[in-house]
Amino acid sequence: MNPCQHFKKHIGKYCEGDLDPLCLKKLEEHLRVCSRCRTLKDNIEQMRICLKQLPDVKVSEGFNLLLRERIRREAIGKSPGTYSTGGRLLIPAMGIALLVLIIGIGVSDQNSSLTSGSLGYRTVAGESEGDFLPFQGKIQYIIEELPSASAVRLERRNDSREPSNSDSMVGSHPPVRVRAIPVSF
Amino acid sequence: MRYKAPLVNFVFHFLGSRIDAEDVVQETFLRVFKNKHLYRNIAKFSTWIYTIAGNLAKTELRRRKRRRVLSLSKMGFEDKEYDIPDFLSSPDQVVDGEMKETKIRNEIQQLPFKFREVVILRDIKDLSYEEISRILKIPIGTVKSRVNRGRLRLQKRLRYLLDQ
Repeated sequence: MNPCQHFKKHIGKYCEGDLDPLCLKKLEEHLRVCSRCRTLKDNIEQMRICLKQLPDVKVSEGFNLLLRERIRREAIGKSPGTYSTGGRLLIPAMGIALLVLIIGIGVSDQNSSLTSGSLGYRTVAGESEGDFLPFQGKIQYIIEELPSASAVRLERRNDSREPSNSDSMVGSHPPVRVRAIPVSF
Repeated sequence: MRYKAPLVNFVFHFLGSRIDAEDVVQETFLRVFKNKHLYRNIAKFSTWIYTIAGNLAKTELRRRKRRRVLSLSKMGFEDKEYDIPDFLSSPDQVVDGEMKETKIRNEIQQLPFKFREVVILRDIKDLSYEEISRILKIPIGTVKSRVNRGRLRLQKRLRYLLDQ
């Protein structure tokens, strides 16, 4: 390789003092005899000084204010996104809750059927008190509209107060009267 | 906000316009805000933010290039949208420091992007080769070689100034 080419290749390292001693010695020997490379080296060193001395541009005064405003807008714009992320979780959660509620109602209805069959009449409201207080109205409403054994017994008890032919109803399923009780949750 | 001024200066060397540089830096901070959850402690925060700013500056330059092609073809006599460097001024006219500074800035902007970015990061921002390598996601050897070639090219362009 031409010594000038070699010098050009390593001038960066030379200017930064990053050359191994052997290479450094070779380049310095070349610099002593080659004025072109000497000028090149001087120019590059001077240029680096100039680049370092380039004055900084001043940032305009309104920069911070504008940035804060943009970030604020971004945050506001993002809030529906955050909400929708929550919404994405909310929908399955609501689905699961609904499923649990349906299963719970089914189990509750089965239990009430069984208990009413073996132990006699128990009010659903009484059963749900304490444990399912917030869902009391809902459970009561749903169970009352199902033709379960407890409902039949309840119906029969109500009918027995009336002077109609209640005895003819024994042994058969009377029509269940659905009473709309307001849902309490 | 301690990165504000260094970033504006960094981008300014690419774009040559303070207003555009501020816009890019605003966008950089906004991206940082939006993607703060993506920041990992593997890299230094400065490396991350410089990478974003550099990429946005690159995008802006590409956009400008496209716009320039369009607007030069449509430009009338009154239009003066871009400050195209004046190559015709003789070195004798370059007298004061301000002029010299403008010339240097203009010449930096004439460098191919891959050389410009390394020269800015190394010789103006004074970052280490390792940091530059991380910011630009290129090997250190490539950074060194580009810095060297960039300096040689810039020196060639600025020779008339440096010889004085």
